[in-house]
Amino acid sequence: MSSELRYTANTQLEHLHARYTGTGHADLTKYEWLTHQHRDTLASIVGHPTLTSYLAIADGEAIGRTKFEMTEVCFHAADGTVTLPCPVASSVSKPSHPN
Amino acid sequence: MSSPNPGRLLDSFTAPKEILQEFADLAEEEDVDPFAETASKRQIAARQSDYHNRRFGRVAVDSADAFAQGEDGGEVEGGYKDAMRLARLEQEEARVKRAIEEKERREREEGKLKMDLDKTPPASELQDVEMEIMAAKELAMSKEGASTKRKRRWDVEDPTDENVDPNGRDTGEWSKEALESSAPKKRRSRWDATPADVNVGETPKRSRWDQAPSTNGAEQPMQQIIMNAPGLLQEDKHNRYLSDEELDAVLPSTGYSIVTPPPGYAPLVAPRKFLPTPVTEVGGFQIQESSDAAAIAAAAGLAPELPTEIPGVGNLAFFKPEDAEYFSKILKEEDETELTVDEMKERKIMRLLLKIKNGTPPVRKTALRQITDKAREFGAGPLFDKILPLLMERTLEDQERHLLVKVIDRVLYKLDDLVRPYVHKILVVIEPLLIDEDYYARVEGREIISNLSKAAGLAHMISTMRPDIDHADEYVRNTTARAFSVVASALGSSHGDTYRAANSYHDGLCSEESFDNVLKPLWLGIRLHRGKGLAAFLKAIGFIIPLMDPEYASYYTKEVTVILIREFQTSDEEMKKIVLKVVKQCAATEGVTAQYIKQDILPDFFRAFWVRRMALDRRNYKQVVETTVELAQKAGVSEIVGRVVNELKDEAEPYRKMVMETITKVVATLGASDIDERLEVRLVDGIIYSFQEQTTEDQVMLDGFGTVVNALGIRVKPYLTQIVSTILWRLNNKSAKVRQQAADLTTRLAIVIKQCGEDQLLSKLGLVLFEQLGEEYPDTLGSIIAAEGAIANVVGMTQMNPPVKDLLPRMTPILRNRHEKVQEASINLIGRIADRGAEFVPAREWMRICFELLDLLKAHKKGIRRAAVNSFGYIAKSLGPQDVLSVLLTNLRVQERQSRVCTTVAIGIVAETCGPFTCIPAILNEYRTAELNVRTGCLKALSFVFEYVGPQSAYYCDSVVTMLEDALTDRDLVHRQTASTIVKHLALGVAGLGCEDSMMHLMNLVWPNCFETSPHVIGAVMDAVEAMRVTLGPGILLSYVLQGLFHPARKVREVYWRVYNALYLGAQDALVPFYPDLGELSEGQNVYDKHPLQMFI
Repeated sequence: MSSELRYTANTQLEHLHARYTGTGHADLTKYEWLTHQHRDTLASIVGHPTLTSYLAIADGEAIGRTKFEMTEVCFHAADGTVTLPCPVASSVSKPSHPN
Repeated sequence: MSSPNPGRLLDSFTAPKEILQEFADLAEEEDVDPFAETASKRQIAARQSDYHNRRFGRVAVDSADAFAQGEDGGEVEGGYKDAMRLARLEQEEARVKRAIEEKERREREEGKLKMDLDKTPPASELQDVEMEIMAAKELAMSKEGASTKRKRRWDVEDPTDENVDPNGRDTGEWSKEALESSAPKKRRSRWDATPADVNVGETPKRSRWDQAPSTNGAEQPMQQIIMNAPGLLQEDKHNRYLSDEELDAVLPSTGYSIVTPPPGYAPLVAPRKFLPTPVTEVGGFQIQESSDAAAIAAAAGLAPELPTEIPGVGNLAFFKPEDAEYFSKILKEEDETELTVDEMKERKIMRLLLKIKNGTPPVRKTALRQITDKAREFGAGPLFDKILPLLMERTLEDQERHLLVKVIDRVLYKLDDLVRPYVHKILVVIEPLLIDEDYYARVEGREIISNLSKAAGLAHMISTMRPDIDHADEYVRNTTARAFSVVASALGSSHGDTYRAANSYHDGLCSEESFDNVLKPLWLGIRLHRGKGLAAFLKAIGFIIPLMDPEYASYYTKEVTVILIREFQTSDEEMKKIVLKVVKQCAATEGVTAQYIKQDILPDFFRAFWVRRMALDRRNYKQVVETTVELAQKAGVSEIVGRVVNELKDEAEPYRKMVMETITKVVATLGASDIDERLEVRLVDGIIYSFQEQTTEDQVMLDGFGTVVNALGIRVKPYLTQIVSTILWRLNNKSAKVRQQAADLTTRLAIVIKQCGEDQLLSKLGLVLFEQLGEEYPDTLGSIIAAEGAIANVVGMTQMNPPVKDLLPRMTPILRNRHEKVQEASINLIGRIADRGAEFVPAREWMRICFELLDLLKAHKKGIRRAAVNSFGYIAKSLGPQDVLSVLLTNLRVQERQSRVCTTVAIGIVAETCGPFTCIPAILNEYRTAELNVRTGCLKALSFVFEYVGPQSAYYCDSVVTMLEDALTDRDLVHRQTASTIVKHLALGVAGLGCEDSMMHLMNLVWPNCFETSPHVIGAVMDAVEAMRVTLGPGILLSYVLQGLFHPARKVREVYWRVYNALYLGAQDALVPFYPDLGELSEGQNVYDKHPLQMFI
């Protein structure tokens, strides 16, 4: 990249990161990237009501509970207080509904 | 032949030596330094009046953050309440002082004063007064015990601070003592010096040569410290004077004696000193030294080391003794490891400030950027503690003030609500700018205050400024009132959100109420004051009234109108302007009724302002017009127009113009439906008169005529014959300008004439204009063509007289005219004919026009180029594209880039109007030409074609794929760039239309270009990739991107992440199902399996 372009690209990058969570840069570790992916996944499920209810039924939980737990993980992954993984992981490890 | 040389008498003639000597002596006797005046003028404080310099006496308080209240629940220290109490206390003090004086005076008059001239009042009386003061103080402070220490000078730090010396004396640089001692003594005029002051023993005559530079710090000119500057070499330690010790060492001790310097001698360039030490005795040579470093050096027996370069700052443009005082901390070499973090920060800020204030432009620029970037890191406190005292320095110069104000401005943006505690301090420093004589200083001041109010919020600004508005000191009231008007206009402009924000955030103080709070003092102010003070108060009120509730506004407007009407008579220009502005603002307010304006304001207003004199000054003129238009919004058209219409026949032309402009604006905004028949007659009559009588060429009359006639619409029918005959007569006038104006008027009236059904008149006008096409003045010709175009437009091509088939051939040669106005007018007319009546003109004529049009493609004005390109479209539509297209494709071979670019646009338009199938084969064929320009042109044309035809591209995408393959693999960058643009338009056009296979193929060809470095190329490639996301879907794009996100080469990663980010922003949600499963990376607590996606019922 030409020096000029790199300069502008970088300033834009900083702006981009400030504005949009989840965007990346060349120095991102794969773990950070994975964290973003998980949050995207959970956010997407919460954002699509049909998916949420599907998951809730599969899990045998209330829809609200499923939604809440996913939102919690999304939220805490943002400030880094909780290291990912999904809370659902534990419930999935339990034998699920047979159907 | 040659006459004998008479011998030269003299080389030159000059005055006798004695006379020259006499003048020189006289000049020395005068003892004037011609530059002394200018040197002091650079300092702001020196040139300003005592009134301005009252700013040094102001006291600022910490303004607590009113919004912090909610957090700790308790009362905020130093909040609004305290500020108000403080203000009241000060007022009370002032009142008591006045009472004492009054009492004294009365007693003196009554002769009760003792005869022994003892001016001290009896002890009992003094005690009374003392008691009164104490009582007032206690009253004010009783609520809170801790409030005693609250009234502090704003820059004095806590008593626990390092600034307090063991004696308990406050030595802060901003302390009262420091302030007073730094104040230059007022220079006495020679006239009021008593003769006793003159030392008789001294010789009064002193030459300039033996004058020592002034030791008074305030008067000292700036010292150059640019290294290697000629004449200043002694500053460098290698070039400094030898000290006495060194001389002793060098010279033999016998045979030499030390000569005492002559009386009154002092070195010409004074050595650097850090504090001006009082000179105890005059005479004798002495080196002044008082800095720590210098003292240590002197103690060690070394020569004083003069700092030639400030550590961490580098070279500066200049350096003043006062700077040395302020920046003493960074002048010394210090061990940085011993400093605390805060001290380091302080030093850093000081260094940056010094660079900004004294540095050379590049140094200043970087420092300014640094201080802005780090503003939040430094924090508001440390920053303002350093900046504000500098601004209050007495020796400040314009340039320095400008720079420091700039720093504040930049920093404000970054700090945002962190500035709240410093609002009052900033205001105290900035408010004086509002009354500066310098226009730019006033503008800067306004800007800072408006930014400040945006950063701190309305409520906070009001609670901070409220106490000052009824301050005992008139100076404070005046500046605060001005600041208030700035705040009100700043927050009024972004009324909606700020207002609401202020309402919702601030508990207790709702905004109108808070303004209400301020209004009372403003109110008393307008009754008490006269002249400049009143002007400031009126200005503030004018800005506040529009922000109030309607019923309040109406009440206050009525109150203020009395004063305004009184001030209508004023002869002060400034006041006149302010009064007009306030009237305008009041009239715009909701609660003010039409009835009120008509009865109470208009009569006096018209008597005072609608006079010829007002039309002569440009600014008054504008202001009067604006205010009258605003009044018309309420009072109605007929009221205002009725009052001024007779003035249209006034004998003064500027005044007629002012009337016309007002009528134009009023009628344009409110229409003419309100105007009755009698007024209509007078109006049209007046307008025709003033139009005919005008001597200067001006848009005003023309605009006025057009606006009024268009507003009247069908009602002008009775006057049309008269108007048209005026136009016809003026079209044959000798003066080109008159002809031009007549033609312009025709353009404006054409629609109305058609509305009135006067087709006869139109065709008559059309014929006369047609005959005038031989006009030689291009400006006039342009207007005539435009008028002809306007007539053709309203009449239609079939009814047009002269017929189109005669008109167009007449236009063809005119197209060669190089004048822009002519070109634009003709291309518009031709385009219109091509659009609506192409069939009336033979094809050969159109082809001739096509060739002429090619020249217009390189016109400077974009409007002309666009009109020409559009005309190609119309012509192609009526003739069929083949001939036009071949003309255009041939034109791709020309040299000028501009012309080629426009040709490609025209090809795109032809393709759009006649269908892509007519053009694409020809373009593909042309692409096979070996010439680079032609190939690029073809690509560009295709890019426009696909941009214009949109989804239709789906039919043609397979046919262009092979050509794109070729272009995308070409070695020429521009080929690949343009091809990428084509791919972008194509991909966006065919999205969802089932062309994925060919798009995938193109994607594979575009993708390798993502490492291009040229900005235009990479931009085009990224756009193409982005478009591919739309067509192919984000999943496929993600699989391309995943290859390089964690590539070992940084350059690769950077590009891939860029693409990833674009992808992520465009389709985040859609990416979720495509994320790779990386469960194998899980370890310990961190599980990276995406279980929710693996669940099923």
